[in-house]
Amino acid sequence: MPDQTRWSEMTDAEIEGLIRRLPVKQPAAELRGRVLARSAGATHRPPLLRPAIALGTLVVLIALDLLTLGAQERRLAGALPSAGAATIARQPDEADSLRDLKDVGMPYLSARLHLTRSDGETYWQLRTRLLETGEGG
Amino acid sequence: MESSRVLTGSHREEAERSGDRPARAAGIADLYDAHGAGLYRYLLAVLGSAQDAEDALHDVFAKLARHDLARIRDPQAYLFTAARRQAVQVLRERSRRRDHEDATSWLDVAVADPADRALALDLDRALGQLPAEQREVIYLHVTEGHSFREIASACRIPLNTAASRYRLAIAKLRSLLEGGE
Repeated sequence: MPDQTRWSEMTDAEIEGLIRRLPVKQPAAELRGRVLARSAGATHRPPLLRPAIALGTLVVLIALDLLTLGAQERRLAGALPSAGAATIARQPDEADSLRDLKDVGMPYLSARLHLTRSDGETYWQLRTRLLETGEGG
Repeated sequence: MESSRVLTGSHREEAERSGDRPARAAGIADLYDAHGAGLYRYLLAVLGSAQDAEDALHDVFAKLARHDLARIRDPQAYLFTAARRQAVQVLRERSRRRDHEDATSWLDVAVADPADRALALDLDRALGQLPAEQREVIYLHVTEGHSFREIASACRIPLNTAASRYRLAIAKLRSLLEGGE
């Protein structure tokens, strides 16, 4: 417990004086060696070297990415059978396939719009026509 | 914040120009000799733990070693700012972990004059119970003898804040010493 009476008799200036007078701790002697040994391991890199390292890393990553993609494509190409003439002939007409989608509303409109956009028909023209005629053309 | 030795700029610039590792190491050693003890005491005052103060000092010098020494115009200011940032980081981590240990002060009670030893023990305990920012301002003003203007500038706080923080710290210290709280 602090000596309360003694402290209450002291002014702020006396307390400050006591703090000032008391010895302060010093770092351990071996701390210098430890700090300097650790800082010796850290190397300073000139500012220009950092972007160069970043750029090099980026190039290597892109190259690795391309290599991986190329290998995957080659594996996929080997696994898939080539499309024969019969497969192509059996493909249904796009308009037929869209007719099945007629009742689904917006998805149908979107799909139909995609097909008719090349004819210069806008979404609103197509929508108006569908509402008026009730059929997808 | 010691200023007993000032590292010559030419020494550090020479080390940087030559990319000479021994010269760089000598530059860092010079900086440690000039400011290491002061920084350690400052970190001890703020963090209240010898282990944390040593770790923080390690980090400060490890960061310094990655820095371009030739571009540091005022090593003392640079190191103080780095140490303060490190201390703030440690305190934040501590509050995130909700660690609360009894802090130790920067006073070396063991080697105090026997006549002052009882008072020194009381002071050590009371200083340890103050918040870090109050310990910081007492250390810088009383032990290091810095003016409030210097403290405000170094800690990037308004002058009035530095002064009022000090007044609050002394009032709290007195209250603790007189057996309050």
